[in-house]
Amino acid sequence: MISASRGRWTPFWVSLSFAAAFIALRIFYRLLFGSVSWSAVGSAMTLALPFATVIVACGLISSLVDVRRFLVSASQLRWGRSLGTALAIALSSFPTLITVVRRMNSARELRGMRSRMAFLVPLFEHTVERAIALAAAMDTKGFGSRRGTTVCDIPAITLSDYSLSWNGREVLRNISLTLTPGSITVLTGATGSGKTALLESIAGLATHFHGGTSTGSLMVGTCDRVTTVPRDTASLIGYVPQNVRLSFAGATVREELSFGLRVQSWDKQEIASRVDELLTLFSLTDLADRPLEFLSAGQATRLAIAAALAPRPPILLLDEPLADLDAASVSTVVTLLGDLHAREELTLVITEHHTAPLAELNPQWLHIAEGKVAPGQWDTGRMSVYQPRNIAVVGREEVLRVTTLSVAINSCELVQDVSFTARTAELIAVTGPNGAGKSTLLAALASGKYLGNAQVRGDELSALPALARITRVAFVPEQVSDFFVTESLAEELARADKVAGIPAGKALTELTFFSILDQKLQDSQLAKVLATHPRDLSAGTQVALAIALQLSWKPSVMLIDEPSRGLDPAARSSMAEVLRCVAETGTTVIFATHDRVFAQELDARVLELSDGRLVHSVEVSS
Amino acid sequence: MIARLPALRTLAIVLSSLLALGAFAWPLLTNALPSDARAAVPFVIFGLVPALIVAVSLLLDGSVSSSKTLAMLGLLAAIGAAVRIASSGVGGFEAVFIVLILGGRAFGARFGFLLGMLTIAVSSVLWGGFGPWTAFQMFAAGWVGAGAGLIPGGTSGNPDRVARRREILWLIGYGVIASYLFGALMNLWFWPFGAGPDTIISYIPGGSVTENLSRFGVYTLMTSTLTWDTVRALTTGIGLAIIGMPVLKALRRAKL
Repeated sequence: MISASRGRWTPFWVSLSFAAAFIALRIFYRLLFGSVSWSAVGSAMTLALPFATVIVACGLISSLVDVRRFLVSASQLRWGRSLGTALAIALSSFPTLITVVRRMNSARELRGMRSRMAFLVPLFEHTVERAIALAAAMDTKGFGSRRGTTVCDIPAITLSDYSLSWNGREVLRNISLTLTPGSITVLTGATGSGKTALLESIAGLATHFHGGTSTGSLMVGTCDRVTTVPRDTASLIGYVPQNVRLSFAGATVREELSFGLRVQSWDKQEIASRVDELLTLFSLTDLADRPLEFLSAGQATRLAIAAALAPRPPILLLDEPLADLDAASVSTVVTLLGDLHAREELTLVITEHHTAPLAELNPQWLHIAEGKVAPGQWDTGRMSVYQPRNIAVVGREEVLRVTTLSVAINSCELVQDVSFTARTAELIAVTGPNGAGKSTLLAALASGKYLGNAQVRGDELSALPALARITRVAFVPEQVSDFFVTESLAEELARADKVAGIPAGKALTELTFFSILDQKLQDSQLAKVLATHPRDLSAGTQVALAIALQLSWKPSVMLIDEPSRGLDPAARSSMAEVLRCVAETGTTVIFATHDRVFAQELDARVLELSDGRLVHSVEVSS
Repeated sequence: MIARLPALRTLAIVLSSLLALGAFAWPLLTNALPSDARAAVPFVIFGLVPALIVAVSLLLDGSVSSSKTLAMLGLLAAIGAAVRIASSGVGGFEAVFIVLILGGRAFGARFGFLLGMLTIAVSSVLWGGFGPWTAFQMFAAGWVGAGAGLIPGGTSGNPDRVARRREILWLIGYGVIASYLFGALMNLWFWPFGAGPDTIISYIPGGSVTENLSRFGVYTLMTSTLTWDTVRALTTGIGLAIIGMPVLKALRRAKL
């Protein structure tokens, strides 16, 4: 049931080896500290047998009894429920934690850092983030609720003169709004405008979980949100948070779907039949027992929606459900939402940057700016999204030559027979749907693990030691926060200088960072920005920081995985500017993206991948 | 009733811990018993310690009920095991003590105690290694976590760098001492079984406390103090020095 774990008889074999070691040690001590004779060996062995038997018996018991089976019902225990739940969380999160630890390890190598310890910092940061997301999901799914949910016939959402503050800062201001039952609403707005805050207010997380303070009133049906905690509205409101993977409570698809029903004390038969129904409805049947770490972004999103709808809530809230998805998954999810709305008369509230695909749902559009809500879409047209500009320094010199490159992981060919060349200061976009091999291609170049050839100015990448390779090709992975090992921007920039061996006092990385950042800062703001925790920077700024950190190695080629992921239109055009600035330093920029518009806006050369092969044959200049 | 009175609960936990400590030190305490009762002591101990684990768990269960605390507890308990397993291929290191100490420090002695117990429980369930020692390990690891929440050097409000550094220095000192104490305690209850009879490091049933103590001293020095415990003390100390400050800050941002 749980992957990445032991076989059934492992504890028994472990205990056998412990018992053998125990007996051997007893003999050893007897010979070393007692008398040396065969009879001494014999008596040491005989006398050690009883305890050795106890050890083996314990191993046998833990092989025969699978504790994990009992943990499923931990949330229904009368005594010891809390610790049972904590143990269940530990065991079901363990496989994903293993993958996270591996990811951190590879981030360390990509970053060119030797200190293994330092990468416990992003691991802990991830853990805290995951703990909070998981706890919020447990609350919205009804964990620990002692009374039944108030279910109302007409679950309208009504805000009147509602304001919300966090740590003394007002995020939502005097909002008066009614969302009628059965309506679809899409909330648009820049990052940080308060979209998520509004959604979390309706879900009850903003005040009861994150500790915000509100004024005015917010009613969901007949429930007063100000006094009703999220766990008591679990069968009224389904909530799909932004980064769904962080909030999963189960270890497999089936466990995740049944979690909410279990904590709401549905009976076993009902749970089983509801889960089967959901598996069919969301086309997840084939994945029912798959461990969650193996789901694609689209599958994970579908699962999160299915889990939120498990107790048949009449209201569904979705926070940027399309952010991570490629074109095919976007249309699957949008169609699914349309069907669900028609069939179950759901009230849908969705926040999203990618508004175009949602138009087919014919929603009511709202936008938030500076904490205020107004009808209509967020107007991004007024901003100059793209100003064409030629990069002066594109040279003719060939920097990178890739010939018949393939990547196979577990005898599965993820990238096949790719050939292309890249020149100085060129911008190249590697595009294609999720799973086409974009990230795999970039990661292979960065790690030097590939078949075929990839040469930077004649040096074969796979033949170079890691620290020499990073001065040819540096890689910025999709999860840029894995790179951050300190507690402020200033420290992070200084650390990068140190790691790359740049003399102290030059502040080269800091200079790089502010020169590629598409944002001019006053001196007074500068100190504040430099003191900010790297994870508190905006998503786009974090990517820019990771790029600056890697530029400290002065690589010839910069590889960037999904730089525009999760960015609003304004931040996206800033990111385009960042990439152009990097290219202007003479660095060749190769980035993976499933966002073709972004590639076109940048005027980048496009390498389209499909099933690991280049679709557009690209000339290899002689 | 006990669950409703925090002071009584704390008292009950302290008493259980003292009783458990007595169980750890059984080889030195059996002198007071008549010689025919001595043979029964190990059996009593093997029953007593798991019973105490259950008692303390139930006593503490009520004090952790919020979803945030439980999620944090579960994830931190899994992380030590995950680090150990995922990095074993590349010369893995012992991160468990670092997790226990920082967790106990950030979220208090009770949390630290539960974290210690759960961490051992998680790795026993996942990777085998369940045995007569498991209950003892759970207590000892629990004390390590709890101690980190009890030692001085705390910071409050919005501490400056100097105060935070001082806190880490306290934790490093504690980590080194705890590493050796943990090893010695785990050796103490196991010693009569581990060494066996008829050697110069053997336990003498009914022998004087001083004689047994000096024999135990040699045993623990030979078996773990100079090797495992020193490695653990070094990794814990170095690890806390490198990651202590940013990790404590990260944990405290969770505001349980």
